Parts: sequence; structure tokens; C-alpha cells
Amino acid sequence: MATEDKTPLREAAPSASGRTPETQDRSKVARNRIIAGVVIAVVVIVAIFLLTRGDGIIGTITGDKPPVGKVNFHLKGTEFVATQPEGDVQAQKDTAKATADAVKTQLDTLFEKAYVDPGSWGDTGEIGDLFTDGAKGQLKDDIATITLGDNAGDTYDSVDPGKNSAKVRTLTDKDGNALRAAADISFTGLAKHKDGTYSAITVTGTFFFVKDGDTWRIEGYSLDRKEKPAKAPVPKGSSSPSAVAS
Amino acid sequence: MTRRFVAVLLVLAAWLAGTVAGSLGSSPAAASSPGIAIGKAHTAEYTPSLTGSKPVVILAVGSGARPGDDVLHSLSDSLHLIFLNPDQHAGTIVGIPRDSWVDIPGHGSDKINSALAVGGPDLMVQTIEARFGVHIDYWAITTFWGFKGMLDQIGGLTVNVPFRMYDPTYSGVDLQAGVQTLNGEQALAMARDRHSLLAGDFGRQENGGRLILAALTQFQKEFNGDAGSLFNWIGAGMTRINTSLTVDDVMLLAYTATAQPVSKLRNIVLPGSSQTIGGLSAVALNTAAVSQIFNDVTPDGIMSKKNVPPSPTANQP
Repeated sequence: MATEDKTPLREAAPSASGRTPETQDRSKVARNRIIAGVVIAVVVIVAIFLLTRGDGIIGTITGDKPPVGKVNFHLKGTEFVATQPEGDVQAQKDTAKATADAVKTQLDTLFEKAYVDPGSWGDTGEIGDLFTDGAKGQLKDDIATITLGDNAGDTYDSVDPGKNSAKVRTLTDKDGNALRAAADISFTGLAKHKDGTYSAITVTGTFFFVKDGDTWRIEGYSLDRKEKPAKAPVPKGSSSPSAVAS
Repeated sequence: MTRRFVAVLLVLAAWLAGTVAGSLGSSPAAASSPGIAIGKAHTAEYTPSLTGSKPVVILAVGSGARPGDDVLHSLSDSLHLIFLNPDQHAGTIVGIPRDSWVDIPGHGSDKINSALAVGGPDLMVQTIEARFGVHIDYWAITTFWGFKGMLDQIGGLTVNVPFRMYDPTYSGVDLQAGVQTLNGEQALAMARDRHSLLAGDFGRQENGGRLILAALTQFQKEFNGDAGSLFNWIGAGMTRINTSLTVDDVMLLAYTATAQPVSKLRNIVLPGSSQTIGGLSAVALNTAAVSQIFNDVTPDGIMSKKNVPPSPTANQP
């Protein structure tokens, strides 16, 4: 019959070895299966690695990153500094409290953008509105202190804000109008590096604020940033602190 | 089909492997990226400051008013012109003997300290501007009790008292020479004393300049340790000083003062001699020397070394 006379193409092909075509075919299939298996194994291992490290490739592609930590400065103290004798003490106290609240909001925003949110690390444009024009001009020079740093994304994966505090002093006139404010701050954060290590970041110093319409802007600052290696945070559920500087 | 599948897998594997290698390899390099040095402290300081080569001139007056007197219309006890050149971070403190005999515009000739009593700060400014050909930008006047309270509020003033000062009768000063922290009362006594000084009022004006420089030194030291302390100084000063300066002016001056090297400020006193003029014990200023001083200091606020007059207390034992 015609079908029985047909020779399969593989069988018809000239054999390079002395093996029979049937044996060669089985050998090729087996070899291909081994290669495919190895490649698949490599792909799976690499994929697992990429998917589980840091934000993960899926997170990177979809933009589905872990939520950015919130900075919340705790007001350690608020006080007024009178510039005129015999003023209205209660009005000045009230002003000092309201000013401290407003300044705290600015500090929260500044450190969240400058240190905690990877999307704005090292971007002085993101924080420029918090500063007066004069101070804004200085930001580039002080980027490694005012922010996590230029190209911080090359070094850090994330910064988890720790305990942050501020003491706010407000210069007042005798009627209780706020003239200036100074915030002595202490910011701490646990930074996770690209290489999996951690460091404890602290920023301390003073910000000077001036009122511009309804907004308090930073007109001056004197800051120190320090950073030292830290231990990895203890997994959630533990009663230990999240990180301890080593 | 199988070969294509294998090829695709190999390419994918190579891409993934490359990605992994790339990401692993980036960490050590990134750790040393410029601007971030772990373990190294970074500092940042910025405050607005005065700018320009034209000097800012402030008249600082210590009023001799007693409690209940009109502070702005009393005899002045000490007079200092403070010149600051913002661009060069340099300046001059010029002490004016309070008994200097001058023309007081619209009021004939008299001791310069009477200008405040007769016409308040405006006439005092007018008198000095007319006599010395200088433009005064601001004036600030304090009192004995204001000066004392100010220094007590900042926790005293560290001063290098240049020589033994002892005057139990008038100023009450009793200080050994050397670096020490003076409370408000002691600093006031040092500022007021002229009876224990060979150079009398000339020496007193020079000590006034010394106290200003000591205050600037301490202000900077405290600011460098705690920048927020600036407000304490402003509060201590502004509640006890009558001034033409606004809070914005004071802030700008204070910020500027944080970076003003004390060593680049000269403390001089206008030279002259004590004489009896119009039946009064007064100071006849050395007209030639005074002209030379103001010709030198007025344009830029900086005094040339060659024009610096001798210290009135140079021979004080």
C-alpha cells in the first residue's frame, strides 16, 4: 500500500554515524530534553531570585512597590520667644502651638520626600517649595544632607523612618503674631542598601522658618547627617526594636 | 521547533543571568557613589546674609537713663558706630567719647551725649552724621538695666578682661584681669567704669567695644553648638533695646553675624584730649586724626592698619 511504502523523512535522511536512525532520534530527543530542563531550571531559579529580592521585578514592572513609610515628627516642645516686653502671653503661647503644628507638617513632608520616598530621593525640585528662594539656591550644594543624596537610588533600596522629634521655638510680637520659627530636629531612619546591608541614618540640627503668606518656608538651616552600619530589622511580631545600630 | 524553543530559552536565560549579574554587580559600585559616604558625617549650613561692599552702619547707644526716665531722651553714656562690610566679612567698631564737643544741628555746640537728651535718636543720628560725614543705617539704644537683663538672660558673657578693674565708688567694678564669665551686673560695671582707667572715658569706650566683640564671639560659639540659640539672643536683645531695626533686619544681621570673623573687626576709639570747653569738662577730638579715620572707614567699613589710632588703654597697668 502506498502509505506503507513511504519512508519517514527522518528515516530517509542519510545517517552520519553508524547508528541506526531510530537510535539517533532517541538520542537527540533525550539531549534536547536535558538542555531544555537545564535551561528551564536556570530560568526558574533566576526568576525566583528576581521575584523575591527587593521590590521584585514584577513590582518594578508594574510599579507596585511597597508603601512608602510615613514621617511623623513628634513635637517635643513648643515655646515662644518674645521680641517685645509686656506682651499678651496667652496669645503668644497659642501662636507658638499653631506655628509648631504648621512647621511639623513641613518637616514631615520634607523628610518623607527627601529621605523616605525613593521616588523623590535626591530630587531638590520635589522639596523646593518648602524653601525660600534664597535657601532653594543652596540645595544642590547640600543635597547629601538635606536629602538622602544624589543618585541615592544606586545605593539604597529603602529608608524606614524611625523616631523623629522636633522642638519648635517661635519669635512673636507682643500681640502674638508669629515672626519666625526655629525647629531643632532629630530624624532617624533605617536604610536598607542594595547589597542587603543596613545603616542607621540620623539628621540633627535646626531649620529656620519664615512665614510666606499662609506657608512656613525654610530660610536657613544648620544640619548634621550621620550614618553608621546597623543590624537588619527583627522580623515583625518580635518585641525587639526594628533595628539596632551596631 | 525544539531547537527554536531551546534557543529562545537560552536567550531568555542569558538575559536573566545578565540582569542578575548586573544587579549584583551594581551594589559595591553604588556604595561608593559620590555624595554619600557611609560613616562620614555630612554637614549643611545656610542662612541668608547681608550682601554688598557698601558697609552697613549701626549706631549703638548705651543710654544713661535711670528707671522712670525717658530712655530715648536721656544723656547717652556710650556711643559706638559699628561698620560691617558684608562682602568682605570685615568691619570696624568706632567708639566715640561721650563728652566729645560737637555742633548739634539746631542746638549750637555741646557734648555729643546731649544730642539724645535734646532731640532723641533722630537728632543723635543727625549730629553724628553731620560731624563725621557718615551715613547711619540703624540705631539701637539700651539702658543700664536692659544691658544687665540681656546678659543675664543669655547666661552671662565670657570676657577677657584686659587688666585689673576696681572702682568701688562709681561703677562698682571689681574684676581681675583674664578670661571670665561676667553676669549682667559685672558686665555693666565693666562697661560703665572710667574712674579706674587712666584713659578715662576713652578707655571706657574701648571696653564697650571689647564687650561687643565678646558678645559676638559667644554668640557664634553658641550658634555653632545650637543654632536655635539664635532666638534666645534675639529675644534677650529685642525686649530690652529700642531700635530702628525691624525683626527682619535683626534676623538678617544675626544670620550675617554668625559668619562674621571676630578677628576681622577692629575696635578703635576716636582720639582726642580732655579739655575745659565752655566751662565744661569735655573732649576735644583730634580733628586731623578723626578725619583720617572716617575718610578711611566710611567707604567700605574697613579700617586700614596704618590709620588705626593707639589703644587708649595700652598703658593701663
